[in-house]
Amino acid sequence: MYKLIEIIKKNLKLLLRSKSSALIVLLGPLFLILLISMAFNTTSLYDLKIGAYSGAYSELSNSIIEKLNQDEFNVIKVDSQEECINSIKSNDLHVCAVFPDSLNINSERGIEFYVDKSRINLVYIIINSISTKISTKSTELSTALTSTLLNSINTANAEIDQASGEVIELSIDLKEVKSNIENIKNTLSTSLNETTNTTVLSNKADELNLTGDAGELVSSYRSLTTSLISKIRDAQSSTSNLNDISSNLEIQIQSINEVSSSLSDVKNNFNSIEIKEVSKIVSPISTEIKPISGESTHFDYTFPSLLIIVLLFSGLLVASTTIIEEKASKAFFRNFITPTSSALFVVGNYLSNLVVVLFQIVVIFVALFFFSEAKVPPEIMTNLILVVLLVGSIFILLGMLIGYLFKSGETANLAAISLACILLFFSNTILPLETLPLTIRSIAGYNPFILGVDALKEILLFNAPLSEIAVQFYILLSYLAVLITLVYIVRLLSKRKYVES
Amino acid sequence: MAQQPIIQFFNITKIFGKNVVLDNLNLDISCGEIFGIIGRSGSGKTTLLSALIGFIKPEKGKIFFQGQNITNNIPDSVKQQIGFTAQEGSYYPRLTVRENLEYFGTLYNLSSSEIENKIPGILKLVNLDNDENKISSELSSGMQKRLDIACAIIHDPKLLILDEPTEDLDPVLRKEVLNLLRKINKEKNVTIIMTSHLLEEIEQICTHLAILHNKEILIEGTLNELKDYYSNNQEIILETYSGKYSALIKSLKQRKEVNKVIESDGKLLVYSPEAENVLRFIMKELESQDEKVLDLDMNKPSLSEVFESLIKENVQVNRDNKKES
Repeated sequence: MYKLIEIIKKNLKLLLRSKSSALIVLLGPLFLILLISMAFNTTSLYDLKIGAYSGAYSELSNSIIEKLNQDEFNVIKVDSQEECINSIKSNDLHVCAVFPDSLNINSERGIEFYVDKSRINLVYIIINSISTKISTKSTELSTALTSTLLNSINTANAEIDQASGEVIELSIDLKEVKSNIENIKNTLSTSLNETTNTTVLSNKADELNLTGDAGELVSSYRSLTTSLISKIRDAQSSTSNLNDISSNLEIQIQSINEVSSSLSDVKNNFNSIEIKEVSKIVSPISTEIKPISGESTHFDYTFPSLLIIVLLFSGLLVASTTIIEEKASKAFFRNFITPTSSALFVVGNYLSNLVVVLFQIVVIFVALFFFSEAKVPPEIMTNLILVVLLVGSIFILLGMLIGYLFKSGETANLAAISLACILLFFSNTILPLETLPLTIRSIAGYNPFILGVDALKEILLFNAPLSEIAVQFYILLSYLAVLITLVYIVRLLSKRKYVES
Repeated sequence: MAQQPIIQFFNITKIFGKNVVLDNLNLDISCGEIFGIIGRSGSGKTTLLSALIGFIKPEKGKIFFQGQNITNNIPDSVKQQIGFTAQEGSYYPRLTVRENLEYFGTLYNLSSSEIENKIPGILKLVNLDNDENKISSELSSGMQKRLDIACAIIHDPKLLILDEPTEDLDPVLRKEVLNLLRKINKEKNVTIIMTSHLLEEIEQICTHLAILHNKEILIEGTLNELKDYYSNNQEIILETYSGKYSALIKSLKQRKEVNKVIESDGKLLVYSPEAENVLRFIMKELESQDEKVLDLDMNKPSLSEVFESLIKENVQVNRDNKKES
């Protein structure tokens, strides 16, 4: 144990006495975390330049441009479509939007957006962001149109209501008229019947053969009844006209009832429209994307990857460099001939590198505490430390392996950086794993970088317990066991190589 | 009863690829000696020492440390008794003198208190007692060499092995290091094995030596034994006031009993098995030339001369001669 501590002490002293190494080890992660936390501590994109071109700008196209200009986009009107597209190629613009001439809602051609798909990490963010803006504008237009339509319907509905009432009143009036006509007709018919009595009475008076005043009276009465009967008969003859009128009225009443029924149907149809809110008609199915973790900045999302990147590069480079320095050191030879086992040197070197890498991680967390709003809850600390230790150890052992395998510092550094790049490229950090063919993706799934990032994400973003990252944890543990064995074997081989050289 | 050698090489053969570097080499080294192994560059001196410290394994043969076979595996108990310095220093240049001693002391299983107790003595021995907190790379090359030796003896080894310890040092520093080795041998009773191709320094310090040539030990013994056995010549060193020897050289070369005449640094070196006759002849010649003698000496041959003559001789014949004797 005493020997082990002395080896670690010696390694750390050697590292710190080289000013450049000390500077990189101490200030490197601090600088990195400051830069990244400043750069990514936001949820927005900055200064995305959109080129806009149209042969004839309309009110609508200008309003869309204005809408895009409001937030993170900076819209620049260019003189031609070709210039617009070329500006993307030369990276002067991020997107080119070509509006149809005199764009309006009746235009058949839509707005064309040109993007540079080679900027894979940015293009989908831009497309998504622009789509959101255009969709908002489109929704605004739909809302306005639908609102007008609904207003018209409501007005029509109200007018139908009013017209229905009037029609019903008209129908009632006509029915009354018809009833009156029927009454008149009946009255006339009764009157005619009563003329029979008058005639009988007149005939009776004639039979009496009255003379004198009585006779004159009878005569006057007769002429009166005759005249009356004649009038009644005249009136009776016009009853057929009343029948016609009555029939016509009946037809009119039926027509009015039909109109009333139609109006009623229309109204029912209007009333059958259940959704009358404009927003519901414009977007009958509303969508809302909700994050499964709390609202966070880009920094929070990239922090697990950032930690693993620091572990990756520090582990690989620091470990390979210290091993190469040890091999190139004058004292390497004396270490071999002391009564100290190879395993102790391996463990000593591993622990020294682990101290350095953990120091960097601590620096990152301290910097995070002071310079960023992102905080690590204490309840996840144990799991976090476990995963960081595990992943850090794997990268350190890989670095040691490289250090023992290669002869010169240059080749070892090259190998370490190459390995780091391979691990980084075959992860989700630069391109989504889903862009890889299935076979490669399934192999890349065992990349310790991915396993580490996944485990850290689950811990940092979702406060996952160890049981939920068991798969990653055990695979990483297996790596650790294999690498420890390999490093020990390679150190023994490197001793032989050293002797032969 | 004769004391058991501290080191025994028995029929050691070492091959690198197709190149046989050591071939059936046999050598015994006794306790308390300062044993020098000399040989030309590439003669296998470093390979022999590397086999001794277990850094390489011979294809054939056995190596014993105090009777214990250490050919294939050197136990920690033996490692604990061996100190080694390579041609280049073997310490951490970015650590201080004290930190290097603490580190290697710990690797040699010394406790921190033991290290604390030993460091002042060691530093005084190697004359670095005022430099213990200096960064090693900032020391002069002589001091660095002394630090290297200090690192090799921090654990009080019984055997100190040094591979070309004075390589790349100037004559003053070389003398300093040789004096230190002598001191370590005497004060700490440490057996020292050193290799060198600088014959003068081996001659100065070693009590015993072996000549390694053509994959094997040509001869071993004390310096005088070597000189007596392998060279009948005696060395006459002459210095005259004029320092002009051309006429004398001419006449000396005509004499059969004179084997070699060398003019060097204003002196004339004459080698002959009949030194007294040659000396008489020289005096006579000088008198006839009216030359006055400034200095005259007669010695056994130098190690350099022994070494040269040995290399020239047929190795096999010499080995047979040795067996016969």
